[in-house]
Amino acid sequence: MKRRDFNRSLLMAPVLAPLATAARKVQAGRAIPWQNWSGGQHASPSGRLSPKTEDELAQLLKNASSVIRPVGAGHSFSPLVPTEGSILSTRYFNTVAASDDLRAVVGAGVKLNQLGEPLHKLGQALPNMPDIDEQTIAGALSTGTHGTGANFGAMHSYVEALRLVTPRGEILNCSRSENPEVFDAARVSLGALGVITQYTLRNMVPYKLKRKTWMQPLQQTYEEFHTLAESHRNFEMYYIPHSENALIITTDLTDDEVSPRGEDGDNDAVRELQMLRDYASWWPWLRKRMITAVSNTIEPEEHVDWWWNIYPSDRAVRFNEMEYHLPRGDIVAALKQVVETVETRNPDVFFPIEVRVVQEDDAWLSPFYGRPSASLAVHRYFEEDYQPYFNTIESIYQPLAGRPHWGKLHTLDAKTLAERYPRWQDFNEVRRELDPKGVMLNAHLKKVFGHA
Amino acid sequence: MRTLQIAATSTLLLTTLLFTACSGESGNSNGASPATTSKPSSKKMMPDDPDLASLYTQSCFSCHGTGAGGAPRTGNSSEWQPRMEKGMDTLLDHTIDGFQGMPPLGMCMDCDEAQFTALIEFMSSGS
Repeated sequence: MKRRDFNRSLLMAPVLAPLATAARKVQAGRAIPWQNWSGGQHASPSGRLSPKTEDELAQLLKNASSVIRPVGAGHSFSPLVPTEGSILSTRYFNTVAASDDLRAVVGAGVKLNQLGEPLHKLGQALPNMPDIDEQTIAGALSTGTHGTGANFGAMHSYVEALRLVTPRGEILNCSRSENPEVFDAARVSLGALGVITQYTLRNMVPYKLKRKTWMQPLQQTYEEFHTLAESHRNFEMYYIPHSENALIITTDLTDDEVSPRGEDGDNDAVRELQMLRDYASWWPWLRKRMITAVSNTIEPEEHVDWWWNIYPSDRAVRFNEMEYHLPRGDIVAALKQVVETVETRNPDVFFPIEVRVVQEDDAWLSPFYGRPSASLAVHRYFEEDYQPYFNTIESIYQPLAGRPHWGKLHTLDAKTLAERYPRWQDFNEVRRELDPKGVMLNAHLKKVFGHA
Repeated sequence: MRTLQIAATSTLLLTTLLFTACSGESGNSNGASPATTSKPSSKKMMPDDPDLASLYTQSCFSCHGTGAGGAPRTGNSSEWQPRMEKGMDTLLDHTIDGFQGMPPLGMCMDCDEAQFTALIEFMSSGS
């Protein structure tokens, strides 16, 4: 265990002040509630904390008299943050610095959309990214967030080291050679072991990607799925509900000149699908013809750009999401079941259904632990009730031993999760040791870990 | 027959709409000019107070500094005037609940009312 040099604290002089100023109670006037990006999760926290240093953070955790939940960008759909205790922002842990040999040290509060360009200017690139970049790096990694690519692991696969501040007030350096068990537990840990303040990431030389999108029949896509996954650097597909089509997206390395994506049409396309759903819902046969016909008119597109401009898409249409990670060999069969369910039982679904591929890794609570995987994600417009739809789809994943994305909606409890994760007991032993009083556990995590 | 006529018309209408969207001519709902013509000055404006500047950079800038998603640009009085006319209470409601392209809390997880107000005042005036 190492303590950071206390002299580095910006609040060195008023030693007692950090505890008072950082723990800011609700001001007189308007009480600011908390909600997540979709508006599906709400809380009325009694405190909002934003420690400026690791020592300040350690004191807050050690002296906590109620639950403390770290909050990133609030992008998780699952209730990882809500608490009547305090929510804690890592906003001040926001630096990006190059280390040696294509490594970077990144503060936990850095958002993915603030990471790409600085890394690029440092001569580094993330190996892969998800298609949403609003999240903080700690929030993304702690929930197993991932992009797509048969030979690419989730983002946490590229972590070489991290610093964790624990509820016992310790500041731990963790890697494969230092506190290795904590490292294996902490890489995907839902903010349940304490608060991570920085990551050392193993990066690549910057690269350009050629992104191609096109529509093709869904039936053809079933047959070609694994070939597409294996023959492109990154491959994903969207099934367009109540149509006969799928949208294919591939990216591959290129030396071609940059021809940017330009203004994103994704949000308008989703709104059009919603309109089609609403307008033609009274005649399903016609709606299928219309959606198919309309999706048939979508021209193939091709863009070239540097890596950090290609991956992310703008998501201004808010939604709630459920995503499960399945053994890759089972994905086509699972998708067929989901498609059949949507076609026959969910006429009002219009959000495209997203399928991606991810390589295995060895973080204990990684949904990709020990198995090459594919992910299947369903979305519901944020103003509509997601539960009936998600409950129906979720039942398809259980016989396949599916593992839900930690940051997205699911109903699994400790008993089921223990069966799905070979290192579940090991994780909980580390968790109980680092957080004996359960400072980090809100109601959701008590259900997930089975903590009484 | 009448049903088929309505269906044909709606197919044409919606096909046109979707085609327009995918051809990249999608405008934004409030009629503001697209981000590609945003004045460089919005991107350069920064609060004097370092704490407020830090909040602004990490939460508001990515949309309000650039005009992305139709957000009223920092210091652009013509875009901010109709918003300010709604009153600070309404603007705070929008910030907390999310509004159009802006997510709840404007991505600031630890701002209180005074900080939200200061950020809105900064963005509307640019100083």
